[in-house]
Amino acid sequence: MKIMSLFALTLFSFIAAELASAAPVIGVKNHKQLFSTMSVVTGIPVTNTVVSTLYKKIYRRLPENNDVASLSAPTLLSITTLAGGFCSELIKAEALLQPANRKFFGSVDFTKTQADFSAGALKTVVENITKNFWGYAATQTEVSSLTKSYDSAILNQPASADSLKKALLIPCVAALGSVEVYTQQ
Amino acid sequence: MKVYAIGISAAAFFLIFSAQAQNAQTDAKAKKIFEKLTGTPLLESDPRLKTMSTMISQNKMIDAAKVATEDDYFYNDTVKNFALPLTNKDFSGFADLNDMAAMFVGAARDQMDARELLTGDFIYYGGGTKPTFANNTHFENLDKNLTNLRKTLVKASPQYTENKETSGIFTSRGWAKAHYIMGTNRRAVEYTFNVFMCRPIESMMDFTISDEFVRRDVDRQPGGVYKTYQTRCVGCHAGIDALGGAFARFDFVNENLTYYPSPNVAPKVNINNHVYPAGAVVSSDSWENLWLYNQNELLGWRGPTRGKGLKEFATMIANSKGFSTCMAQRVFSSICNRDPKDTERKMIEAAGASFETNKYNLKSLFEEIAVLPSCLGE
Repeated sequence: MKIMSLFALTLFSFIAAELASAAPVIGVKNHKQLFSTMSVVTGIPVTNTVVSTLYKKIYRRLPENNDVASLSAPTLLSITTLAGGFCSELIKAEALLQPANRKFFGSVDFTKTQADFSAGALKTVVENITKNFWGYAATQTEVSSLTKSYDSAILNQPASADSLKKALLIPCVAALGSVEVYTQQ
Repeated sequence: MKVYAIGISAAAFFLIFSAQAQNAQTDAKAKKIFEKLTGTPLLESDPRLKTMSTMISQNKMIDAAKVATEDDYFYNDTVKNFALPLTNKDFSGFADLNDMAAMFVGAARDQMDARELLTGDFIYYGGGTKPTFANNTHFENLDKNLTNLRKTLVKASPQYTENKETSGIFTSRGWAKAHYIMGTNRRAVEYTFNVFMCRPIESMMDFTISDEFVRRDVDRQPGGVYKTYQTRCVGCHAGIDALGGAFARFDFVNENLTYYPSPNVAPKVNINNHVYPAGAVVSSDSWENLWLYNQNELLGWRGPTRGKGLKEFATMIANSKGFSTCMAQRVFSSICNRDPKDTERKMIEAAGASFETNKYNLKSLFEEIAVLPSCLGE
């Protein structure tokens, strides 16, 4: 009986090891890959003065290489900071376009206040953002979590077009600075 | 009749469903290969997704990888990130762009024989006035301006007009600043093996070889104990010092390369001669490779293992099996998010052999590694 258990245990360990070896290894994007990736998914070129200046200022606080060990609290904060730069430029750029020509914020009327911005329009923004940043449709939980981040940001803010723009930054930064963007298989 | 209709509908549904599943699989693989080679995602809206996906479904994996290596980010990020850590002694990915890293990017873009990286007389720079050896400003500016290296780099020869002896990256400013500064240039030998043969110096230690070349600055009785020299020091020094002549004419002083033409050698290679006056004296650029046997036989030496000057030394390294295998190993580590396992040794050796068959084409090596099932996590 003992021998059988030992055999089963050994077999289990072997299978587990084999499965583990076949599993894709997760890596972190290094500083330059993160910068390029954010540029690709937002469409904001790396030559954009705001984002390039920001990158040069903070790149040494972004991951040095692809090892997950290069992630730390300061690197995560810097990833969020970089995402903030790209998102503010993205909102600025899209606000200048006709809604039909926008990729992310087609459902937003940037001349109006948050009072005129419906829950449905917000959901569309979040779905566009996640689909483009992550490469797949977000789950209901993810969408809900990101819409809540907007709700918290807009709470008690004065009614203005500027408040709306600022609050839209929050779900954008949350999605762009997320693990889906800064990791790779 | 109804039964037939239901059967046909079910079959059609099954075929459509499995075709969709197949497309999803090939799309996912295309995205993964693209991201490994460029460091950036392949968007759903990008027409290259369909191109790569179709190629993958036809089992044309390398062709699919070639689509990715046509992207600027392959050169500007992936190859650059592969090279940068090799240009400094800390293997830091935050190092400034320099001439050595630019040579890797240019060599990949122009599909050069990568052995020339070690032996050639050329430089890649960002156009305009050719940089001098005196500083790294030109390359730092390329970095600061986020220059598209793939589009900008220009090849020129000779490497630096002021250099009297040239041998690829070994006479680049990046390498010289990292390894010829101060010391005795032994670090240059150590890092040659570490960087281009993937062999840290500890793994090269061989206590069976002659210590006839060990220099005068090495204490034969450290702490008064001869055994320490016999069982520790000599393991590295016997091999390193025998090869040291290759770098004996070079020094890096005041941010510049100082060259000592024949019959001179850099004074620093013979410093501290009082420690063991009966030790070896470096009087020329002759060198001999004593690391030929035991574990070092696996490095697959081909051609002469003794010679004169840096170029002949670089040629020996570049022609070894160890170089091609190491390049395959380094590419794997840089794009597959992990180092190859011991059990994958044969796979890496095969990739190295293929690298040789493909005339040491660095771009092709990246393509081959990126589609390996073990790199894709399959």
